[in-house]
Amino acid sequence: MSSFLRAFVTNSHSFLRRTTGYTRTFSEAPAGLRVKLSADGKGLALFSGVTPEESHYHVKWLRHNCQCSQCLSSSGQKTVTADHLMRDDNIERVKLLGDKLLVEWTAHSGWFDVNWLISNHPSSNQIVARKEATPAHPTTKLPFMRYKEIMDPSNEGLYNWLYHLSAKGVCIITGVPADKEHTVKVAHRLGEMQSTVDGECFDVIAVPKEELTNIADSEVGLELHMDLQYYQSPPGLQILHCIRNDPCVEGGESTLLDGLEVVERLRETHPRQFEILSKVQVPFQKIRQKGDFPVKMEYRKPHIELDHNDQVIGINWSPAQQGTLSPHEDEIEEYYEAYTNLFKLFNDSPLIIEYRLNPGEVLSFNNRRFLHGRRPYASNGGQRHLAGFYINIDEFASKLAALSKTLGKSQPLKHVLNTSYYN
Amino acid sequence: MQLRRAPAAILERTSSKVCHCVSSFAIVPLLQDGKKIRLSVEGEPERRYHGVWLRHNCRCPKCLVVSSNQNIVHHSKLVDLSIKEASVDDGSVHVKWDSAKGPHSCSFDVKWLKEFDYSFPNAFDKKNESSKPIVTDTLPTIDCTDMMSSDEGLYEWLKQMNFYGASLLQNIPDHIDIEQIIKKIGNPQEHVYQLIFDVIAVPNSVDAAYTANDLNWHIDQDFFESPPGVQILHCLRFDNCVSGGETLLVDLYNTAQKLRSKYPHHFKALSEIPYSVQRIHETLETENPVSFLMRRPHITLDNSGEIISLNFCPHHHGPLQATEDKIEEYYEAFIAFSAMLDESPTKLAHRLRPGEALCFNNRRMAHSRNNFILNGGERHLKGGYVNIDFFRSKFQLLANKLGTGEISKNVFNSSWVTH
Repeated sequence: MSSFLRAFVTNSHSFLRRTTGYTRTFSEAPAGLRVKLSADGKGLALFSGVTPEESHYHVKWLRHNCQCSQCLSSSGQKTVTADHLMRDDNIERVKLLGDKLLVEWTAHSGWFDVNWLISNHPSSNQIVARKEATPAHPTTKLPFMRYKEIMDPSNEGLYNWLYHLSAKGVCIITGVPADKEHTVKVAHRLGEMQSTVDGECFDVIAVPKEELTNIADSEVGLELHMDLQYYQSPPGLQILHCIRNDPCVEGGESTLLDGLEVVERLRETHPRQFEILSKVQVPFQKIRQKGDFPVKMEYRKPHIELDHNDQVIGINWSPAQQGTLSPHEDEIEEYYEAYTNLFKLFNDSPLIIEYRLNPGEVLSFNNRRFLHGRRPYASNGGQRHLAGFYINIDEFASKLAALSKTLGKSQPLKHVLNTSYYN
Repeated sequence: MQLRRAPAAILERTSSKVCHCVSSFAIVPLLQDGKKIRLSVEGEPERRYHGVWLRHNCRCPKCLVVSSNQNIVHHSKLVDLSIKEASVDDGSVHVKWDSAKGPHSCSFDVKWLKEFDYSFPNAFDKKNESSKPIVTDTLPTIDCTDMMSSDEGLYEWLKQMNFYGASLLQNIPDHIDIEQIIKKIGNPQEHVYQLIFDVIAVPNSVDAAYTANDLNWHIDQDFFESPPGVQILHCLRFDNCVSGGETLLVDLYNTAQKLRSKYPHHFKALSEIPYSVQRIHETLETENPVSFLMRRPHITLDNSGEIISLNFCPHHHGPLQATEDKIEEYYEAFIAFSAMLDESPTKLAHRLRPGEALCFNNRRMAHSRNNFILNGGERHLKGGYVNIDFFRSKFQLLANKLGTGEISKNVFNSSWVTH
């Protein structure tokens, strides 16, 4: 009998404590739970007792994900190496103990939480997970929240805000004092401002023509676009806090559009154009020679990014930052046909939301899913001034996931279009 | 669909409207009823340009905002477009279009047209070739004072990291701290820990790096869409009595290329099967709980199959989620790649000395370290990062300013590299 089994038989609990650092008590196993080791030792089958099917687990997958304290450090980091995976290519024995599964490989003994195994099965419910992760309905109505809700220390309001931003992609906060001190207070609820070529906190305000380095800082209209596409990870959340928008200012309404919805519709109506836009690389650039902070950013990627199952994981749209396409001669006409069609679909979309921001309102949206723009305006002696900042897309997703866990929420989290692959 | 591999377009029939033919070097006839022009330079194969491409890249101030370099050509101007006239003089090509939105005209510098040429035989070969990184088995070094005191020195430092993936900064004076070094490139990049962090062995650390253990090959903070770009590790103390603790670097790009030629099926698995990288600090006593999750393959490719990113961080692996038939395939490939990293002939090992900083592209070079025993001494490094896209921008700006004619290598920031 191996030392593992001997210890297990004589005193399971002390074995576990000694060998694996496991100190918690056992919970009851799900009724009807059974485990079966394959004859060749290369895998095991788990019958959950809930569904009639059995779930298979591969020996190496199990070894890689061993939950004992030797393999998973208290920092949450794995210490399993390729050497372990190579060596432990056989399962000698398995045993269920309450809700724990003890596994003995060639040269290592460890354990798993059975519920963890069930919920992390390598191919469980992939299709369902994808569907849940994709927003089901286009957002045409703006959700509104109050400043005091998002600031509430219970974090319920903060969670709701972040959840709106994940599910609907956009949210307006009202009742925020109209000064930049409060822009910073709002930012601190979300985390650190993302530092970019535009600094951290920026102002959108018409400047004299000779100082212009960005057309946003003028009175002209802005086509629907996404900001800073010339980064690998363009800004995630965009927050625009309206400091001033005098009644005499004519125009200047903000426009917003759910890009994902339009792109998915393009897939249905013009599959070939959709394909072209996911295969032709487009250069996005920012060239600024003057000033203290010159840049020459260039990044090439297609307008639509897909994962291994052709799910949309990224959208890249910024006509004004598009550099010179260096296409292959045979794809140029098809590219322009698709590009101009999508451009038109965006601009003429019935889903465009138009909203005039009032001082004390904060417009927040996911810059990776939503396009935004602005109608042209005339100051007429007044002023329109927005203070803005960004939050990194992964920081946003992480914050929401962590908060959801802490507050015990069960709503499924949506894909935030940060180019992470679906299951 | 294989767009990139399609045969070159056959030359369309030439219309009779041969326009102006000045200078000895060029004629500009209209092709395909005004859809394209042909530019012929004596002694060189002809070049063709589409009317729609030219219109989109119009250089006039109504289409290109000079101060901000922003393109404001509206899509409606690209529809039902034809070239009515084209002529050449004084090194410029003048084009007149007609469209549903009315006529428009613009002049293009022939030099610019040649730079962005796309129809020339093998037009992109040179650009593609010059973006390929260089593999080295020696760690390039540079003196800190040289780097800090002149554009040429700074450029040399950036070039070492851009071309070879790593650079050892030496003779750093005591009054120069890591922040000043980082600021030579840009602002420190945010990540989950302190902007500038200390690598020092501490009890109950939140990260395996802050122990005396050896570490596996990894790139840092792989769970971000854009993980840290340049990593700087500035050595403040490394007492002689400390044994072990050498810093190690291995070129993921070089190893992945070898994997591709030696075990194409493993390369295919690692470039197709997405794995999960996660960072979850929910249970630890931390002020800001985090829960990062990123899924993608270890190696990602552009549409022509060139490697554009390398993702490798074994200790942040989450459980692999893939169909049953892929599990074995993945693990065989992962093990083979890991073994190749261990056995790489171009591994770099260096025991840092106080006053040195190891600087490398965290997206190309995996790093690790040997375990160490303090023996009563101390080992203390300070670390920080710079965004990869910004690093590339800085290199290119300086190359242009100094007129070196060099273009940035592939820095593995996922930007497509093959033209």
